[in-house]
Amino acid sequence: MTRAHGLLFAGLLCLTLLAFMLALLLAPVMDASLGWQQQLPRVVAGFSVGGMLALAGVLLQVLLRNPLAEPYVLGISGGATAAALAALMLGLGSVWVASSAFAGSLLSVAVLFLLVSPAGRRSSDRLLLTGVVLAAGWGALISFMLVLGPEPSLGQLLFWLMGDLAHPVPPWWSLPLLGLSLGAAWVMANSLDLLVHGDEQAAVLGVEVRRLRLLCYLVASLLTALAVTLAGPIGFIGLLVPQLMRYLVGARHALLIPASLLAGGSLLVLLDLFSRLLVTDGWLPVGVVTAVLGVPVFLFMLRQQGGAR
Amino acid sequence: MASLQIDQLCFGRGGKALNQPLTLQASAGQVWAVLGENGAGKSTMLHTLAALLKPVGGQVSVDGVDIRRCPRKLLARRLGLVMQQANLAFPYSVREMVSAGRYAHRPPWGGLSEQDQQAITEALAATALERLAERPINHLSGGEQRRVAIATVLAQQPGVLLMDEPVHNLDVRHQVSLMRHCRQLAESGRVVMFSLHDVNLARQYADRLLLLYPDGAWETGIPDQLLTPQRLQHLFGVPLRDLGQGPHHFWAPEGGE
Repeated sequence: MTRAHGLLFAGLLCLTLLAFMLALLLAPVMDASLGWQQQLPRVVAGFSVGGMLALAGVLLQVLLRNPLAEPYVLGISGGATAAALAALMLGLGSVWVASSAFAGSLLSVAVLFLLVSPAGRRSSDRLLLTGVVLAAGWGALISFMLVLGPEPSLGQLLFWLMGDLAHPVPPWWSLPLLGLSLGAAWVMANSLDLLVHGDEQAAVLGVEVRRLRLLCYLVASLLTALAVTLAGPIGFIGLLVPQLMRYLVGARHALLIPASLLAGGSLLVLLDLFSRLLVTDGWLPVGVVTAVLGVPVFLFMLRQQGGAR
Repeated sequence: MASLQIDQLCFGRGGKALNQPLTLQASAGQVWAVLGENGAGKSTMLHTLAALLKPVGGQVSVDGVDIRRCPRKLLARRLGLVMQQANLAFPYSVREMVSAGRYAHRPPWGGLSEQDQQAITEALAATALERLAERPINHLSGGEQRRVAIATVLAQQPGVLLMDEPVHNLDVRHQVSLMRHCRQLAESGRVVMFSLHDVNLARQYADRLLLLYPDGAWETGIPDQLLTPQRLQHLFGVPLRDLGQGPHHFWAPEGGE
C-alpha cells in the first residue's frame, strides 16, 4: 500500500465518522421527538446496507467479469425482495424472511449464470438484457403478491419496496456479518484479481476456479439478501461505489474491497440524511435518491463500454 | 531440470479426438515449435497440456508428475501458458497484470516479496515493458497487450513454458526479441513450446518441431530434416518452395517469389 492509499483510507475512515456524526446530530433538528439514541439503529442499518451492497457489487462484477454488474440492475435484489415479501406476507419471523431473501438471491444469480454463459462467453448486452428481464419478472411477481396481500400493511410494504431505512429491523446483527463478509472477500482478493480476467487465465496461474467462484457467489448472494432484509431493494450503490473506488485506489481487490465497503456505507448514510433533509414533512425513501444518482452513471458507463468494444 | 512427457495423448473438445495418439518427451534446454493449419488442434493441444481441457485419452506429466493429480498452484509453479484474454473493462496497470504471474509463489493474501518484485522487474525488462509499467492495460496496443501476457508467464517462472501463437500482433523487432528470449530460457534449463504459423521463424528458433497434420497424423523431428516441400504441402494444403541458398532455408508459398 502506497502513502497515497494510506491517506485515502484515512480519508474514508474520516468520512465514515463524519457521516455517522452528521446523521446522529442532525436528526433531532429535523424531528425534535427523536434523540440520537433513536437514530442509531437507522444509521447503523444504513452503513451496513451500503457496505453490503458495495461489496456485493464488487464480487458480482468479478463473477460476471463486467463492471456494470450490480445486485439491483441484474434482478438479484428483485429475487431477494420477492422471496422476502412472500415470507413477510405469510407472517414468518425475521430469520425466515432473511433465509427466504437469501434463497431468492441465490436463485437469481443461478438463473443469470445459466442464461448468460453459453460456451463460457458473457457479453454485456446479453447480461444486461437477462438482468432486466429477470428484474421485470420479479417485479411482476411482487405486484401480484401485493394485489393479493392484506391492505392495511400495503403502505409500509410499498415504502420498503422502494428501498427505505425508516423502519429497519434491529440492525446490530448485520455488523458482525458485514465484518465476516469483508474478511472472506479480503482473503479472496488476490485470487479475484486473476478471476476477473477469465476462468482459464486464473486456472493457469494457480487459482482453484470452481471453489473460488462458488464462495464468491455465496457471499455476494448472502450480502444482497441481508441488505434487502434490512432496507428493501436499494439500487445502484453496488455500481456507483466500486466504479468510483477503482478510480481512486485502482483495480486491485485487496484495496478495492475495504475501500468500497467504507465508501458504500458512508454514502448510504449521507444519502439517507439528504433524503430526509429534502422532504421534511413526509418520507422520501433513500432508494429513490440512489436511483436518481445511479441511472445517469449507469447509462454513461454503458455508453463507455459500447464505445470501447 | 524441467521435463514434459506426453504419453499416448489424444486431445479434442466434446470427447472427440482431433489427433492420433501423441507421444513425445520434451527435455530441459529444448525449444519446440508446433506447426499446423487453422483447426489442426494446436491451441487445443496446448490447453490440454496446461490441464485446462481434459484429454480424450492418454496422459501428460510435468517433471514426472501427472498434471491431473497436481493441485493448481503446484502445477502453476511447474507449467505456464501464455494466453490473451486480459479483461480490458478493469483498469489494471501493466505491473499489476504481470504481478499476477507470482500468484502461485505467494501466500493466499499479503503483498509481494522481494523475490516476487525481482521476478516482475525481470519479466518487464525481458518484454521491454518497463516504460509502460504503470500504464493501464486498456491504454495499450494489441502488440503491447500481447507482451504483457508473455511477461505475466515469465514472472511465473515455470519450468515448462507453453505459448499459444506468442508472436501474434507483435512487430518484427519484438518477434525476434521474444524468440531470442525463448532460446535463453531453454538454455537456463526450461522447456519452451509454442505454436506458430510462421515456418521460417519456427525453423530459425526451434530445435524440435511437432507437425500436426489436418488428418490427425503427427510427426516430430529436427527442423531442417523435417521441413520438406511434401510435408509442408500436407501440413498447410498449399505448395511451399525453399527460396534459400545453401544451408539458409526460406520457405514461401509457390508463385509468391
